[in-house]
Amino acid sequence: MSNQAPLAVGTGMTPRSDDRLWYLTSSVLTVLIGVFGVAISLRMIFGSKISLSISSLLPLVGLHLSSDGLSGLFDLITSIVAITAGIYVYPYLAHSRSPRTTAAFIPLFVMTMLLVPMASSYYDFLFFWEAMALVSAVLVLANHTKTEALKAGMWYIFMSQVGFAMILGSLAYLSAHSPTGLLIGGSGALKGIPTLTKNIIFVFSFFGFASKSGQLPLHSWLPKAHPEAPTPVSALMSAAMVNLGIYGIIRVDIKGLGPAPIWWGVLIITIGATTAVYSALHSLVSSDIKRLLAWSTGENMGIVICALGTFEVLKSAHNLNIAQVALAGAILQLMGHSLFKSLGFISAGSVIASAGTRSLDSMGGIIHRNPISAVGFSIAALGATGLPLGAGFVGEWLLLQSLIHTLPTRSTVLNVLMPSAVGLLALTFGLAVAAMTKAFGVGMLSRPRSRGAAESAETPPWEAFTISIATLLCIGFSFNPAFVSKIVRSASQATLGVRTKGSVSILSHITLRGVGGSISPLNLGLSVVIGAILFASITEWRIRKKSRQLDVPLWACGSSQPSSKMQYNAVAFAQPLERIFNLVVATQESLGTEHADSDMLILQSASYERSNSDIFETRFFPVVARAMSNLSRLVQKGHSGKIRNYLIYGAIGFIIVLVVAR
Amino acid sequence: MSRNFIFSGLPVLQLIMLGLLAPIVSGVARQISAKLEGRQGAGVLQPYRELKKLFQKETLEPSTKSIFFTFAPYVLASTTAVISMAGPFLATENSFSSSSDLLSVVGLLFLGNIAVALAGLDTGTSFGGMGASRELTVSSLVEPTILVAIFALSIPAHSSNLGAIAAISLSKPNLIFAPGSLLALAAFVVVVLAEAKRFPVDNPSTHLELTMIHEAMLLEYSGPRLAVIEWASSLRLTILLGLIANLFFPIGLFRVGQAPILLLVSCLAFLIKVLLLGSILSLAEVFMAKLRLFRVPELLASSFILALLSVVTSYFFTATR
Repeated sequence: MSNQAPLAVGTGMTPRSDDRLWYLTSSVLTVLIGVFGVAISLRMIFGSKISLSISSLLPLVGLHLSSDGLSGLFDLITSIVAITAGIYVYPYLAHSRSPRTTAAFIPLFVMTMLLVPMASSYYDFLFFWEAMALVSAVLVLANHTKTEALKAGMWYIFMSQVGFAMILGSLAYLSAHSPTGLLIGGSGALKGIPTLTKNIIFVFSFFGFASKSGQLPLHSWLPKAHPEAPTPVSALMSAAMVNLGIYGIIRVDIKGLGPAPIWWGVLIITIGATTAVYSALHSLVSSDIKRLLAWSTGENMGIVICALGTFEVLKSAHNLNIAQVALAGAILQLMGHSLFKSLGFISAGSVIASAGTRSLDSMGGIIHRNPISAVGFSIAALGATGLPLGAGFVGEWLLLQSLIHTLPTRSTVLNVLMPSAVGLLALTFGLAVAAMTKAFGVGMLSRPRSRGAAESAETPPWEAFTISIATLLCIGFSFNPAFVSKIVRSASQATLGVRTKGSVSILSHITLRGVGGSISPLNLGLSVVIGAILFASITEWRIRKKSRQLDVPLWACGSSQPSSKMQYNAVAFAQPLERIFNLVVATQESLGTEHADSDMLILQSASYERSNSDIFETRFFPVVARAMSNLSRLVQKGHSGKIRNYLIYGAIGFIIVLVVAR
Repeated sequence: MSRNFIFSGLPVLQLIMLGLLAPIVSGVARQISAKLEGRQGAGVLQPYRELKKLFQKETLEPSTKSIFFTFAPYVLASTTAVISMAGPFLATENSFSSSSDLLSVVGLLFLGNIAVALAGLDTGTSFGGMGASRELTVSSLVEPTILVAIFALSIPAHSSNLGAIAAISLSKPNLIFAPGSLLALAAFVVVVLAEAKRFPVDNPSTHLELTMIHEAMLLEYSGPRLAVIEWASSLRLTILLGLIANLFFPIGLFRVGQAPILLLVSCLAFLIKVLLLGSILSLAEVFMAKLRLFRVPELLASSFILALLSVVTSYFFTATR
């Protein structure tokens, strides 16, 4: 691909004096849209239905907005992310001197994301979905002068259009068969669709929506586009846009198309669990901090999709009580992920801006120079690991509970599938912890590995403010998820479509009704924190009473001051695990040597290169591409350029139309 | 009255008993290995003397350390202490046992590992990073295996709470001999060796830095902080042995509501079981060589597969029962 392709995007990189006004307006607008979004989504959640119809606004069918608890959930998440990312928009744009286009498109992007879950007709949904994809594509291409960013943008546009085509096809069919044409409120009206067609529609729309959440096999745009986008946009994409793929799956596949045969759930679980492990492995071997976070997004969405699949399977088995546990797990995982991932991107963005690099191998020592960003990143990383005290814990606990209580079944498929899902999820859990420990330990702790990191500036107050807000939200959610109890209830009732006594009660203890089982993140978190403080105060008191020597040189087993190059870097840290899972992460290494003499005895210089490749990109996509080009060559043969042939085609086509439309 | 008193007092009792007992367990294990190797040995009380010595020593603070280096030992100690309070060590349930859920126990163990690994990376030495990398390699395979192995036990128990699992094995002793439980036991024993940093994965008494895993991360620690880490490590060993003992062989375990005198029996049974397991451990270690680092994943992968098999079998057997 030529990387000089002219694109009519952006106004170039030259900063102008009045650009600051653009940046500030963009930031303020984004925050205001977020605040407005929080207000109306809370209204949606607490019962009052919002509906708006302006038939003159959109061509053909008009604008129709409506809402239920599900729209409320997704809009609330998007709005909260928009507020934190919105505050960060100004310092980021000012620092990176972004083009005005970026400033103008960020509020628009948030707007389209808020409108997708509110779209009440199929037509509106498709319109806003595509608008969101196009606006975000412009934002990914913000740095289009860089080859990498241009490539990422192309991947993104290609994959989102393939996904859109799948969704368009299936929704067009559904829309034609729905008497009202309504997506929200008109469910249960889909009648007269043959089973085979229904299955085809499910498969197409599921893969279409799943690609928006970065699921296999149409995943590879995510780890490319999210890192290349401007950081506030990465936060918005990773913490809000990918959620809408989940929204589509719930709204169309689970709620709209149901009741489902059991294999739908099986397919959903398989895709989710496989993606989770695959993305966790790639996240582990990434050395680019934003790429690592982007892969982790795919992994978390995989866990959410796995929980949705479990919900679907249990619902098909008429075990509605436990199905709700899986659904609550999916919702809490979704919320937790949005909170810690937006925090992760914002604090990583602040570190990148001050250290001047995205590579973990050139970072280090951030905790000394830039403590607020480092601590913010540590809270985000803790959330991403799914460990207790982190924001991802509750969701994973609920998913595990639903898997335990899946029994009793007599279906052999489920008896094999469920344990495999547990195994894959457990492995994901372990790998995610290793990946996040690497990101934090190598990137933020240890000694600086480059001059940029050693001289990095302190976090500017405005960024520190954003990071503190996002950190507090994250900590609040992980210690006391009782805040979101009502939201989870309303969203799960909207999904089920019937009023049920919820089977999960989220108070200071999270309790499962009917089956037993409870856990208290608050008790657990507080006891660990209090315990650590107790141990610390006794020991540190002792240390201060006895003599201690501050600032002694490193012992390092007796070597004199080791240079900072002698530390373990990100590649070295992940190397043992990379070696174990080499089949999946496909590491290529090459060692080139140059010799000073003709006998090749004296080494003059040596070069070492390594890279990991996405095996889907190197193995699967080329096969598809080859098939496509063979197909198009076939079509090409028909295009002889002779008018009489085209006349014959026209005649045949006309006859076919007559036969079909008779 | 006495029932409630016991119920709420149990966590503290467990913490005190396990906390005091922990150094003896490693002392006994070391003494047995010494005798078997034909050495005199330093006596079972040696770990206490070492802790006392370290606690009185001066502390050297490396110039490149951050707050994570300072606090890592306390996070390790605190997570371990919370598990020892919540877990089913002396009784099937207590006032704190909602935190002894499978996921939270595995998570807390993992959290302790991460704290120490981060401390190893924090000072920026090659050995610290090497230890942290190896530690995470081992534990990111070990923790999933523990999760999956105990998951296999929690399917027949219909609960992921460790206390509930122990209670089920107590009321239905023949469940231990179900194929799922036996496979889980085999997997669990292997990962306990790895998690406790013992042979054949790590050598707790090595002095050769290049072969270290756990010790390499602690090279920059000294004085009371090192004492806290040493104590917490021996407590972890006790906890893991205690989990083997009470999840698979819960003989003598106290149930709330029984006569208080039985609590004493439970303490005694726990002591005997853990010391016995510790002795078996050191006996086995004498006949084992440490594996090469890159052979370790093979061992761990096979135990992961055993654990996975155990879950599959429990699904099938519980479903058809």
